[in-house]
Amino acid sequence: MTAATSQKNKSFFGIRFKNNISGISRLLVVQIVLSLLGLPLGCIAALYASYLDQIDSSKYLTYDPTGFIVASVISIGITLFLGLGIALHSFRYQHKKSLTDMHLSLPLNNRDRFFADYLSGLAVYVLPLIGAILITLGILAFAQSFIDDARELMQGHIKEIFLVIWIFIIALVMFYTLCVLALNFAGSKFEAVFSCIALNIMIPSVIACTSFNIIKSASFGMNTDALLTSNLMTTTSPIGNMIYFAIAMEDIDLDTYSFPLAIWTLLSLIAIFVYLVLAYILYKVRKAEDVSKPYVFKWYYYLVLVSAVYCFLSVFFLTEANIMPGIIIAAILWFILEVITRRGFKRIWVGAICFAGAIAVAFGIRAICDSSKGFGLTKYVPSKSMVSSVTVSYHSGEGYIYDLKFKDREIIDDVVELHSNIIDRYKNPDKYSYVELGNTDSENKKQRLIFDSARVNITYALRNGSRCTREYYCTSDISAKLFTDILLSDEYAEMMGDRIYKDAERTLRHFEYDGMPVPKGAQITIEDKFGISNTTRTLNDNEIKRLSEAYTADLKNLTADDLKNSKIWGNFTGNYDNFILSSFDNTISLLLDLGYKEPVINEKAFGSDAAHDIYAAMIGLYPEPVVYAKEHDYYSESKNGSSPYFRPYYDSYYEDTDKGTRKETMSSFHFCWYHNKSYLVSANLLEFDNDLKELLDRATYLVINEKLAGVLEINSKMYFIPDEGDNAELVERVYNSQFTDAIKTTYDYYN
Amino acid sequence: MIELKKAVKRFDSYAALDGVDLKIEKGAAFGLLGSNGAGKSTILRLLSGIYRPDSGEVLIDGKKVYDSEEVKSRVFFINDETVQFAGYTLKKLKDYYKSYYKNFSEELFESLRSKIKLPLDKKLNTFSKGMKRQAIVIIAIACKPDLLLMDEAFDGLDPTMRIIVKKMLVDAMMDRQMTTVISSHNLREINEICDTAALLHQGKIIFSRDLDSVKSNVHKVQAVFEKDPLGNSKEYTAEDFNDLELLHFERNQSIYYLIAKGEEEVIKSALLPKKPLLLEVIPLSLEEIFIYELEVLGYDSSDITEE
Repeated sequence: MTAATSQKNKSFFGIRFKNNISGISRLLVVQIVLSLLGLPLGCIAALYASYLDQIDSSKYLTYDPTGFIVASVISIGITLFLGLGIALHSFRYQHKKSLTDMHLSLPLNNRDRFFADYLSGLAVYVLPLIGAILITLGILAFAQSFIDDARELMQGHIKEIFLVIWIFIIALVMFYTLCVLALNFAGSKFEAVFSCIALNIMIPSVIACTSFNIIKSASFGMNTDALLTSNLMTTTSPIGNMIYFAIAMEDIDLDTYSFPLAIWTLLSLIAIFVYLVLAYILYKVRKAEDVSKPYVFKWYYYLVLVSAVYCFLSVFFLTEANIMPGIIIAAILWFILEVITRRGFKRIWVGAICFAGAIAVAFGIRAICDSSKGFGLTKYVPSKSMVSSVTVSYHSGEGYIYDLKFKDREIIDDVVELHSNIIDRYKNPDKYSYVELGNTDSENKKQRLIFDSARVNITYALRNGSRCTREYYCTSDISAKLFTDILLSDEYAEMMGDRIYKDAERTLRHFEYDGMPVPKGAQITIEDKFGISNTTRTLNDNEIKRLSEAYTADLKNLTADDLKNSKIWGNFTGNYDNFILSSFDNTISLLLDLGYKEPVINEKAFGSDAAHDIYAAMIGLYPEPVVYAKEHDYYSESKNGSSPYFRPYYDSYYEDTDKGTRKETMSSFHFCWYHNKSYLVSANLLEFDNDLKELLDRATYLVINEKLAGVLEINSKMYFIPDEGDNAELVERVYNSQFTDAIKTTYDYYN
Repeated sequence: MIELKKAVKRFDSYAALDGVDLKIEKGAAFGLLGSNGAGKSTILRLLSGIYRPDSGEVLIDGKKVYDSEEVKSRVFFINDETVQFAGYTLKKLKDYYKSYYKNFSEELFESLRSKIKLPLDKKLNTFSKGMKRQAIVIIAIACKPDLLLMDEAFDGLDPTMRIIVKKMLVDAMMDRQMTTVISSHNLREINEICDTAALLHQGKIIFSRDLDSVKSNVHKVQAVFEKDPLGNSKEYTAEDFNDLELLHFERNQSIYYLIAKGEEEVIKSALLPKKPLLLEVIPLSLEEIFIYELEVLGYDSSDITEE
């Protein structure tokens, strides 16, 4: 008996599914046509243009694919928004009384009717697009045999293509599901459309405004990225999905990608599931007689209005503008909507009370953010055991570390300790001692502070699947251990070695450069540490693999002593991340075998076009000791017009330390310090003498926790002279011989 | 057996049905009568599983109707609108319902369609209101439901087609013991088709019984009574007839018009003590019963007119 009933249910579901697809067959046809116009046709138009370009047809044929591509984009746009129309049509009986009777009296229970309508609409919405995607992939696969761009796409970017497809499919399902959820709130067509649009906009807007309010209340370590790219934002709405898409486009490498696709997918699917369950519950709770009411659930209407008021007033909160005009404008808009919805002034006082409530909510959230210091987010440090991996960026000048993901427990511990240290300094500034340096009226002290700070981005992947992103400016000494441990870690070695292979792999597919044929293979360029002279060779795949392996092995063999004492032999293709130290025997020997020459710094090189200028900052009396910020003044910084979300350490106080002056990597600055004053110095070299040559030889961009004798800026990049041996005297000699006149000129100019 | 037990249905604060108890026997042709807004359509929508009762129960053969696929597969509801499925052809609409109703009979459908000569391949939005009504009726009958619910069943049908449709319904009821519940303002048609009826007013059942007993239980009496010894006509008021259940009382000079509930003989014997010179009992039409019953409840057409 049970089996028979079950069979019967299944068949009714199938009947409903089939009938609903048949009922929305017109929209299905529109969706199919637009999908085909949008993707395959656009692809063919672009490929045709590419092919004509490839065979250099411009002499006898001109073809501009712009029109087709615009039509394609418009078609895709319409197909995406058709999700709303399809959802509306699938559940049309919720908004038309005559249809309600006929549909609800059919032999179907709520569950079968809801899911059959949901799934049939989803199929009509998504399947034509998936079909169009498959056809487009087929076209690309076919075209790759004779069109280079198609080959480039299919062979070099197939991962990215599937990533894009996947994100879009999730976003489509999310959009459709949110529309179905929103439809349940309304009893008439106009309100149903409004409800769909409102819900899709409301979710990311409220999250964004709350994020901004949290950051406004507690800026330390928080930035827009930390909250706007949070899982909550990117997995809860189609707009959020598109934010994720934008992030993914920035760093599409899925292997090292800091924002794992699997977690995002899982969380997005959970969000879709939650919306679907909510939609089903509302569908069940909703009464048949509610059709033709504007809003079946009046609270939803007020939820939308309250959210709109909150977002609107948040703009005033964030810009610190006078709030009264905001309240007045919101009140006027609110009452216009109330009059429209109530079809007059009936019980308008209820609307007035609700508006007062909305204002209270907006101020309340703001107050909670303020009183809780952004819900305590600024002071949160995850426990080491909770962290499964950490992604670190270390932005200091050119930066050595960019979005690298580590699972090494030692590095995770280092990051958590660095994070805790920064938070402790923030919470308990009085635990640390400080001295004030320089003239407090001068802007120079700020510049000096930037000089010794690096922006560190940390993203923890926690074992519970959530992420935690923070950004700090911290002085070099407290980040030195982390920085050193990263450079000495096997994970770093593998990632850097892999990067050489991957970067080269991409150039393997560049068959033409500026119209000139390029030999098949991959071009690898090795340059000197200043990026002035370089050698380029075309390597085959096997050679690149060997080079990658040799580099990985050298990095794995790297010791702390090597790091401190080795000179920079050169680096790969202008990328400081891939430095080659003099201790890298395997790499250097292989490079020499492959025909590369050891990069040499000489007068000839500096006289070349590449070395058009040298900004030199010679530090004779570099302020000692190097200091830490006591606290930051977020609001005053914001008022000064600076970015409100960065540079937590921005103060006039520095910590006195007996460790001595120490610097680390490549901080960017354009000032030199001389007798506690800083001046911009631009100098053309007078003479490329032995002292200057020696100074350039000793200059390095890789300095960790070392006292400095001087800093050079060459072609806008920073190089440091460690304070060891006779470096200080050398700096002084070069300074006196090369830059005195320039310094004096600048000094006179400023004074 | 169809049962409503203390069924309550509210639309916001308005009680469309207020604790209704109703039983309809299998195979009955049941008429729902009542003033506008009395709750007739609400009962039909409860029986078809469209509405969920706020309290009480709505049962068909002991099973709750709402959200029950099994029960609803035995019910067909024709509402009072004809605009739905306007883009469908009759064939497509027939196929649509056929997929849901397993007992659907193509032969029956064709036989009914041939009688009223409806085109199969024309879209329903080209049909007149009456044709749409015919279309849905023949589909409903061809679906062979156990319970057919019709709201304003004959609305839009011309007199000839009314007869044809009525015959179709009666045939279906006779053939398969189909229960039919019809709501209509046209009491003559209810009178012709239904054997049982319920009168509703303001969400409550006034009576529910077979039509013969309804008709035999309400009588119009025309009487003239003996004068007093002084030769004056006796002036009776409604209170003087307390031993009768009066629905209506009217006096025109010496002639009294009474609408009273009860057996004819009982009424006559109750009036005998007042020595009637003339006593005539006239049978009432269903429409008159409807009007007089509602008049007692304050639903008086003369009041409305006066307003």
